[in-house]
Amino acid sequence: MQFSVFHPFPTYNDVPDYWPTPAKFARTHGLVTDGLDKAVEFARLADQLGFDAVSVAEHHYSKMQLSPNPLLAGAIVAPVLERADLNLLGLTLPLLNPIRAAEEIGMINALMHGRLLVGFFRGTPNELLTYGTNPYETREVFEEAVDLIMAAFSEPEPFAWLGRHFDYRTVSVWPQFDEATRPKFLAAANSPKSLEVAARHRFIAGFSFAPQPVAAKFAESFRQTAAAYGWQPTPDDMLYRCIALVAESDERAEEIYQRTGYGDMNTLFKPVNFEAAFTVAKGMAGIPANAEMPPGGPSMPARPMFFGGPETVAAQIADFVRETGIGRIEVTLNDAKLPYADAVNSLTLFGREVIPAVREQVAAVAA
Amino acid sequence: MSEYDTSKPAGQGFADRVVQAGEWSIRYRESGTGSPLVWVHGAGGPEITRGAELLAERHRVIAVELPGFGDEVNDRTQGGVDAAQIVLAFADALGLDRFALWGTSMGGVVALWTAIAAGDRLDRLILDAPAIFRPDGPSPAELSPEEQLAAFHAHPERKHLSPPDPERMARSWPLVERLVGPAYDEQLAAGAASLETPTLVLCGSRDGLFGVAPGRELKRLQPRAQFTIVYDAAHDISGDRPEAFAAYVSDFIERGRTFVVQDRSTLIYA
Repeated sequence: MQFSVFHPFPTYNDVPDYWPTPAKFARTHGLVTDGLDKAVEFARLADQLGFDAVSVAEHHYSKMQLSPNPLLAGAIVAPVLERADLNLLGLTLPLLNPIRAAEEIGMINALMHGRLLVGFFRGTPNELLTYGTNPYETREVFEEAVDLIMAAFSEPEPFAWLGRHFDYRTVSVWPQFDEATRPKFLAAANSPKSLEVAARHRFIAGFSFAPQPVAAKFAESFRQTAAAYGWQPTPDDMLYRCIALVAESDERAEEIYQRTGYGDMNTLFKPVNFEAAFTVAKGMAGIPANAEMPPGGPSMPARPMFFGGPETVAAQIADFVRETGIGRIEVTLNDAKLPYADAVNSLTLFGREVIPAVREQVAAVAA
Repeated sequence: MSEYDTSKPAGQGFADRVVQAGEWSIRYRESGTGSPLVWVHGAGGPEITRGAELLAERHRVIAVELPGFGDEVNDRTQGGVDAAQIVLAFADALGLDRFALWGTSMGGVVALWTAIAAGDRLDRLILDAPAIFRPDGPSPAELSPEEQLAAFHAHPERKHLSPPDPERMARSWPLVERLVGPAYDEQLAAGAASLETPTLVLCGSRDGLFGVAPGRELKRLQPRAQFTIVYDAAHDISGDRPEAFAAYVSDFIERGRTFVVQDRSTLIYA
């Protein structure tokens, strides 16, 4: 079992939370530095509490997640991670120069002495608006970028890349790594096609936010796809990310949720131009831009997945692990809606009580 | 993206010709005008690809048929060194003092030997999926039909696939084995290390025969060579990614080693 905490680098204030958040609010004196200071403090505490890893992501133009470059965010928290690994979950590849990404992965992996997990993602609809990315090409671009980055980390001689979307004529990435300091890699696996990428490259499969029965199906599908590529994933080869809230009791957790709305992902990114965001979502799904959205539209969790007092949350996670076979659990324990003190309390309870209890319950079942 | 007419083989615009080169009567196919590009085929014989057709829009592409890959048996040519002399005699017969040389797969071995023998006559050397410095693995003959298809073609839908002629393959295979030589030829490696001709070696990311090992090794031996991985191409690079192949090779022919300097404008609006 591996436990990681995802830190979204929120800012704490009453700035509007729609997307893109107007840049003028980011000029408020102390707003950004306060968010970053708390992020570092939070990461240090997670390290001390026994989390196996601290995770950062890539999000743009938002007060909710002040992390436009996960490699930079990772470099910010890396110095306080004395024993925990660093998870970069993940790089939104269709937005990036893959060679630049490889160089930065090499740098931060060297900084972490190989205690690094690098995730490759396609992005969320609002993110693809950031640099004007064509959503209909993101799958192709993503897959080529993954191949190119892995070539950059395996080819021994300088090479050129004549791709479909990338044409680099001189590639020789530094720093590299040896087998002892080789980072782990992950690909988001929330669809059959992306899951195939993870299986083909023998990456860790990353699942996120799906209800437990759906996550179990994803995990089984990943195991079957990997078998077709000649390998058998272990629980450590799968990671599940979700939002969690731990308080002293179930009642106290409910009170926090009612007061703050923490964990309602439907309000996490509210695009001003929702027509554009819907079109991007269609593009990522390969649905023609002029087609109607499927009935129901996108659906996101309205409450934290794991939620309640420590005993309740531990039981929920142990049950999840038993049903899905997923061995890496990554929880988000804070965001801009949750008062910082409540987030620190949730982190502390998770580290001190939930993690040991889950390990004990899972080990008991295994025995 | 171009339309792919797969109803008939590529190369309809190539003219069939014959020239006497010393003791050899050599068939060849030719198309295009501009700087001459002599092309040495792979083990399957001279088959024009869509990539070659596109190259012929900017260059004079001359696809030579090595003796022994038609109806006759060639017992005289003992290896790549001999075949290089045939290529040079062929160029002499066409009056080509200087030319660019392109070798595909087995033809890559012959082309490399030619460059080692007479690099001063070559403006450029282009090797695609060359059968040089081959890694351990099954020979094409040991693959199932499905494995062969996947090894050679990442995009069979983009081309007209002619079924192999078993009789011709059986007739020419001893010659193929002599021409490609050992998996790792030390003499070839020594020659490659001292090569001065501007050289481009391309390997498909999905090449099911040799992978990218030949290009990687040539680059190790000759750091001034340009080693390019062609994404989403199998062994038949110029058939799988014809537009990319032709544009890239043409750029290399025209600009040589400086083709690594990007000259496409990023200006969107004036």
